[in-house]
Amino acid sequence: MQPRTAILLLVLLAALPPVAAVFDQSFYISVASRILIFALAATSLNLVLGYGGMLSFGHAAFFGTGAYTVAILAQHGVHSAWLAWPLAMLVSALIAWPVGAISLRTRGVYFIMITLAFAQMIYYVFVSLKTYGGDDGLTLAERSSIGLGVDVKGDAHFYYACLAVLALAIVLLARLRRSPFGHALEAVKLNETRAEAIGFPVYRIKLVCFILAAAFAGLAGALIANQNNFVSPGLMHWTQSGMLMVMIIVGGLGHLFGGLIGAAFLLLLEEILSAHTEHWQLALGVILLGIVLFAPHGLARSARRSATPA
Amino acid sequence: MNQASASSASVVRGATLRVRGLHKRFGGIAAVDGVDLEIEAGELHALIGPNGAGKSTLVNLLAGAIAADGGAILLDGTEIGPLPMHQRVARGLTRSYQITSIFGALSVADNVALALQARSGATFSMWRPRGGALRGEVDEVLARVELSELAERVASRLAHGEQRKLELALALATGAHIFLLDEPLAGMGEQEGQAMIELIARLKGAATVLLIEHDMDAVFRLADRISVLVAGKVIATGTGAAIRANAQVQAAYLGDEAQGE
Repeated sequence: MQPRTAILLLVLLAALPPVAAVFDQSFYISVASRILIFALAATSLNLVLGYGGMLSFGHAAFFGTGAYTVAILAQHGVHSAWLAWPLAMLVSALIAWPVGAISLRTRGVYFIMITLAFAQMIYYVFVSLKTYGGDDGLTLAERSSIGLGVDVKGDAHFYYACLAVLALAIVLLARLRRSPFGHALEAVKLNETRAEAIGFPVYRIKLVCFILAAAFAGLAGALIANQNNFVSPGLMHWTQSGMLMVMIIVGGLGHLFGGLIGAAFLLLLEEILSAHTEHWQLALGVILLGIVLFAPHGLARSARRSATPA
Repeated sequence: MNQASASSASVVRGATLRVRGLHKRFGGIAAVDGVDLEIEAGELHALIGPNGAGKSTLVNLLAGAIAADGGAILLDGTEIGPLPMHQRVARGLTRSYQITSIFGALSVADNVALALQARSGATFSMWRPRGGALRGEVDEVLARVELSELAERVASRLAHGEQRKLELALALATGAHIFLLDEPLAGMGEQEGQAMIELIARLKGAATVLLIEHDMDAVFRLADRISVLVAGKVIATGTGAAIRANAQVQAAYLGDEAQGE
């Protein structure tokens, strides 16, 4: 995507709250915030899966960990976003460290299974954590406060906070993929053996990528906790990891905007279909099947291809 | 590589590689069974032997792809046995592959740029773009292997002989001074083979080379010394003439082929 297109997209997204207000459809601001948050989570998975080629099936664990970090801090009276959100990133990264260090010793199907197993372990830890709601989850006393005149208790302000965070994450990812680390990551993804043989510390590159992605999943978790005013172990269930995967596969693996496109597509479809039928998941399944068959490289790339026929 | 190593503190003309009592078993089979090798700085040392003699296992052990069961590998007198592959590369030892192993989805130039970048040590820098400074060095490496005109070609689209050259270019670009070349002539036609022999000949004296090769013509033309590996053991080491004359080698391996020359 050209920088001009990206800026246009940003302007359009920024115009959403006033437009929604004019048409008296403020409900959609909250839907849009949810999309942006899942876009961030899916983008962080894209770093591991799309750019790093690591089939991590436990990414929601880091998403949920970030959410719980914010909720638990709120329980103890810490509401500052400047404290809680970076801490959510840090805690997710700290948990990802040993998980990655062990999982990355394995390959292929074993890697998928071991990341899934770790994620389910973390899920059950929070299920059994009675102090913080256990199975029932935990309600946030109030949203994080940003200060600087931003009142995230209002949906529009919170939406802008989400948009700013997502835009920042995408800029960082855009920088990263052109950096030496991005090239090294690509080398590892394309040919791990040769990458090692020309001198890349393959294991460390993968681990750094894994931890970094977990940190951004944790940041998305911090946002979803604020969005819902509620956290529950369901956030880190394996089906949640699966949904993030579907988002970037639909959106575009290894595409800068794959996470955003996938999250928008899936959540909007869910919104529209569920308004018409209670069997919306069946319809969703058929549509996803169609995408895998007819746009196997994701919507982002298909859109570009039809725009510029090669 | 010449320029790169010349710019470092000392002009490196290869390094010594000593192998002492190296062992590797796979189940009940001793693939490498007490191998000793002495390779001098700047020497082009060929390793020959029948299929299944353990040549590839030996290369994997030396490069660090697999761990030895026993014995020592000394690079300029320092034990490198416990080091992982990428740290051996950092110390100047790299390998090429018998079955071409390149980054097929990238351009030829980007392939080489990766190997140059790995050497630069800025692997974990995430913010600043990888500079165009590499471009000059890329051109230099591509010129050495005569691939300059194909710089922008996607590597997977290259002909087999060109891919073999890129395979060598990746090893050269690491700036190593010890090369383990695993059958660089594999699958090449007569003409391509000659070109590859020329390229390897240019390494002589500038770097230490352990050459594994089935093409006896190439081996006798290029090698300063030859070691013969049979059933995981080195049965003879010497100059081309000495190896041809060695009765044990003839019996075990060369047979009529050597006598006919």
